Amino acid sequence: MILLVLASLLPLFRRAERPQDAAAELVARALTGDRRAFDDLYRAHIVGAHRLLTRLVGPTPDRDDLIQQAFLEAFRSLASFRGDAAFATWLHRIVVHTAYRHLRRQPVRAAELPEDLPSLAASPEHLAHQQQELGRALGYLSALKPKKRIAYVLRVVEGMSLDEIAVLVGANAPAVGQRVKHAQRELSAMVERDRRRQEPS
Amino acid sequence: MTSACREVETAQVTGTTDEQVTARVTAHLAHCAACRARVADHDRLALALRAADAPPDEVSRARWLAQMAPTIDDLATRRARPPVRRWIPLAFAVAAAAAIILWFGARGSAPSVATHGLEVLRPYVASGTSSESAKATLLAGRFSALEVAAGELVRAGVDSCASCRLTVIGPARVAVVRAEPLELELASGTLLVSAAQSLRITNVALRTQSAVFAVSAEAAVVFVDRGSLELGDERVAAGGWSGPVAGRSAALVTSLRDHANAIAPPAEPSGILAIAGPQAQASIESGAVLGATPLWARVPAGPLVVIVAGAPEQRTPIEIAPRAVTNLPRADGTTAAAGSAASMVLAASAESHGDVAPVSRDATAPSGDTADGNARRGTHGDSALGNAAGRNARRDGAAGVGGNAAGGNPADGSPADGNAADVTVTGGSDVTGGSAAGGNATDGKAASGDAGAPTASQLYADAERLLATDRAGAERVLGQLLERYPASPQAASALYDLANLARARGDVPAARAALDRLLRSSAATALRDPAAYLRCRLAEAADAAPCFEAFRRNFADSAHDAEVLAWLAGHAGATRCADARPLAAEYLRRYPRGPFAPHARELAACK
Repeated sequence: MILLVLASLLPLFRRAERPQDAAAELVARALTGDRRAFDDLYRAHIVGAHRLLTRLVGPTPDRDDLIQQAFLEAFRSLASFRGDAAFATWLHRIVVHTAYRHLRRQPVRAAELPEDLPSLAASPEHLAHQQQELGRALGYLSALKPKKRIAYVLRVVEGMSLDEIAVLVGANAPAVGQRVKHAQRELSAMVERDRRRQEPS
Repeated sequence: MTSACREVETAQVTGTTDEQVTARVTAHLAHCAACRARVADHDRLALALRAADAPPDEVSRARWLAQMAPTIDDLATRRARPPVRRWIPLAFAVAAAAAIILWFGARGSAPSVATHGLEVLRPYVASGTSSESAKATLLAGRFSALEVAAGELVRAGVDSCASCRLTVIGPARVAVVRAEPLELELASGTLLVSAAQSLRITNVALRTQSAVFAVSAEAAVVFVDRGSLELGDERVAAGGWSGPVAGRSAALVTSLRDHANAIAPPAEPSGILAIAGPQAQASIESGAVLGATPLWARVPAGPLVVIVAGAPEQRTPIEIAPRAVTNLPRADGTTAAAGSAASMVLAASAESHGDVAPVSRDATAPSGDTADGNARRGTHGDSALGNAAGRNARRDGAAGVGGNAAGGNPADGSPADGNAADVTVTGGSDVTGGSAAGGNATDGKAASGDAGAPTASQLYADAERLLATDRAGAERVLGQLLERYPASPQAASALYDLANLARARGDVPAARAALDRLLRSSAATALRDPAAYLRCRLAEAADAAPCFEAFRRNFADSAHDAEVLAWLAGHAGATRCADARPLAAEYLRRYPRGPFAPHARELAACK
C-alpha cells in the first residue's frame, strides 16, 4: 500500500525537479485561459529568446517588434506545443522562424548600429571600438543568405550542434552543415578581401 | 585550399570530438598561418556578435509585455470560454439572419448605415497649446468625430474596440462611420492606429485586421509598422510604405513609434495628470509615452513617476488622485491652471461611462471654461509633421458630455443633465511662457566648489557602474559630470554616453544635442568619428545627405565609410540615377564585395 502511494507521488517530485515540466504546467494553465500563466511564460523565457534573436538579426531597431511577434505567435499556437521538446526549444524554433522571415524581407544593406550599449561596463572608447567591430560583423552577415546566416550564427556564435540546429530550423543535419560551411567560406573571403584592401599596397 | 585546410574547416563545422581528427587539426593549425587566420577571423566575428546581446532591461521587458497585453488578454479570454458546440453559433447566425430579414421585410426598406450618434472615441491624452478647458473638454467626452488643431495631438481609445487605439495629429479630422466593425473616415491630417481587430478607413480604401500603422491624408501616405493592411488592391506589409516618396517622413515613423509606446487608456479609477511648461517629451517610469507638454492625460489613480525630458531631465514621483486633476510642478515654475476646467473633468469622470446625447448645432460661448463635445478653437504652432499652422480647426458632430458650460457645473463630481451647450474654446498657449532652467557651464572646475566633491573620473566611474542597472541614474551622474567638469577629458565620453542613452530611450532631440555639443568642443578624442557618424544617422531626413557628405570629407578613413557611401548612393538613387552612378561606382571600386555591392551594381547601371 505504502509503495503504491509512493509510486503515485513520484511523478509529482519529478515534476518539481524538471524546469521543462514547470513550463509545461504553465502552458497547460495558459491553455485553460489563466492570464497569469502567459506572463509567467514570458518572464521565464524573455531573456533567452531575446539573446537568440539579437544574435540572429543583430541589435536592429526592429528587434522590439520581432520579440513581441515571436511571443505572440508562440502564445497563439500554444495548443500545438505537445511537450516532446523543452518549451524553450519550441519557443526558440519560433524565434528562429521569426528571424528568418525578418531577414528574408530585408534588402542586402549595411549593418545598423546597435541600439543598446553592448558592454555596459566598458569605456566609451572601448565601446566605440566594439560597435565598429559589431557593425563590421553585421555587415558581413547581412551579405549572407538568411538560411546560411542563421545556421552560421547558431553554430559558431551560439555553439549549438548540427543536430540541435537541425531541430530549430527544420532541416537535416548534413544540410545545416553545408550551410555553415558555405557561410564560413563566404565570410572568410569577405574578411580576407577587406584585409588586403586595408594593407598598404 | 589543401585537404588539411578542408579538414580544419569541416572540424569547425561539425565540432568533431574525434581525438585523431582533433590532433591532426591542431598540428596543421600550428604551422598553417592561413588556416589560423581564418579560424581567428571567425572567432572574432563570434566575439563581436556575442558582445551585442546585453540582456533587455526591466523597463523594456515590462514595456513589451504591456504592448502585448491586449492580445494576450484576448487569447486568455478566448481560452477561458467553455467549449461551444459547433452548431450553436450557426443556429444563432441563422436565427439572427431570419430576424433581420423579417424586420426589414416588414418595414419594406433597406438598412441604412448610421453615421451619426456614434460616440465611440474616448480621448485620454490631449497634448499641445490649446487651453486647459479645451483639454478638459476632450478628456471628459466621447466623440463620433474629432477635429484636432495644428500643433496638437489627441490619443483616444475606442469604446467599441477595446484593443484599438488612435492618435490624431492635427490639423486633422477623423469621424466614425460605423462602430462595429470599426470604420473611420480621415478627412484630413494624420492618424496613427493600433488595431488588433478589423478596422476600415473608408475614404482611403484601407482595411486591416491587426496592424499598427500611420495614415497621412494630405500626403496620401501610409506606413505600416506592424502587421499588414490592404490599401485598395495593394497589400502593405510591416515596414512598408505606400504613397508618394516625397510624403514619407521620418517624423511619421517616430510619431508612430511613440504611438505604439504610448500609455493605454486607463481603467477606472483614474485621475487627470496635467503637465504645463514649454514643449518637452513626457513619459512615465515604465517607459510609456505620454506626449509633448503641455498636456493633460487620464492616467490610473495611484503613485506614478513622471519623466519630462530636458536638460536636466525632470523626474517627479506624484500621486494621482482618482477623479481629480493633479498638476505636475515643473522645474521652471509653470503649473497647469486647472481651475474650473478641472471641475469639468471631475464631473465627467463621475459619469465617465454614461451615455451622452448627440449635439447637432454649433454655438458660441464667451468663456473657455466649458465642457462640451462641439468645441472650436484657434490653432497655434506647427504640427508634429510640419504641416501649415494658423488655420482654425473645428471639432463637430460630437457628443455633449456630463460637464456643463461655465457657471452650470458643480465641482462635486455630479454632472448636471442635459446641459451640453455648444461652445467655443479659445485657443492660445495660456499655460506656457516659462523658460527652461538653464544649465551651468563652468570652466572645468567644480561649480559647487565642494572640497569633498567627486572628481570627473570618479563621477564617470559611478556613471559606468550605474549603466548596468539604472540608466536614468547614469544619465543624472553624467549630467553632473558635464555640469561640474565641462572641459575635463571625460566630458566627451559623457556626452557620447548621454547621446546613446537618449537614443536608446527614443529621445532623438536630446541625443542630437549631446552629439552636437561633443562635436562643437575642441577636445581631440577618438569619439569624434563615431559621434559624427551617429549624428548623421540621427539627422532629419532632409539634413542626412549633407551631413553624411560632410562626414566623408572630415573622416575619410572612417570605418563607417562603406556604410556612409552605400547610404549616399542609395539616397541619390531614390531620386536621380545620374547622381547615384558616381557614388555607386566609387563604392564598387572601394568595396567590391561589400554588402551593398549588388545594389551598387544596379545603381551603376541605371539610366
